[in-house]
Amino acid sequence: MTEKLNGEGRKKVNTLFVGVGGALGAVMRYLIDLAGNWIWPFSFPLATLVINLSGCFALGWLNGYVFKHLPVKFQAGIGAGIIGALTTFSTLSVDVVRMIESGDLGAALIDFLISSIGGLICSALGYQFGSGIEERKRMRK
Amino acid sequence: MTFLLVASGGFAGAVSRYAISIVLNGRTASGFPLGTFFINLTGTFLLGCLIGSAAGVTWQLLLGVGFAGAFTTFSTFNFEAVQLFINRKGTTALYYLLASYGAGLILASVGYWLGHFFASA
Repeated sequence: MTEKLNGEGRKKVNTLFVGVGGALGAVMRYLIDLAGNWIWPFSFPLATLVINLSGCFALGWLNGYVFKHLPVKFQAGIGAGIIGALTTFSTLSVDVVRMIESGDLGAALIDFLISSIGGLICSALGYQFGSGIEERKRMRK
Repeated sequence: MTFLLVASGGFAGAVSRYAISIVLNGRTASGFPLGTFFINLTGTFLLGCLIGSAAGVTWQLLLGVGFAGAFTTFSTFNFEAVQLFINRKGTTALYYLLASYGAGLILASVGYWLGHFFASA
């Protein structure tokens, strides 16, 4: 593209990046889920838990450091796109309800508690980690 | 083919989330992320209906794994809560967390039950 994009054009590009990132994130989640079913024979949804917690750490780190050095379209594509689609709130909620339905209260509670508390901790740690790198980089300049 | 279904659903889900959060997030004085809240709850209800109805594999992959999975988000949800805590809006953060999880579990059950009900009716 040789000509400068106007506001509308830039919005369209950002949205396209989010869509492509979203497609990638969803397929990655699907693949990790399939691999998880293969190596983890239990009904506890470990793959979703691992995806959600690592996604929280990654988004925190990206916001604390990486996104401060990236154009908006890449922030949108990676943050709202890949990581946003990789992690999922709906699967977690439905999984917990399904475990309660099937009488697996303990597993439901463990999944819910680790996800909710762990999500906040991973998000905060990722952001702290990213901000730390950003801070050290600025001090060196 | 299965990957194409998941990818198409993921594309549509992420773009819808992006569009809705631009319109709805950052609208409230308290900083409550209304967009993500609305997205996570509607997406959870959709997935509940889909799983409850035991819809065919094609629908599960396109609308469940793809669309609902990508439309709803756990990473942004938690990052927003952390930002609220950092910005000394802890009360809003707590309301956000409690309302999302509370309503999320209720809507997942209601959707699951409705899906099951209509599929077996």
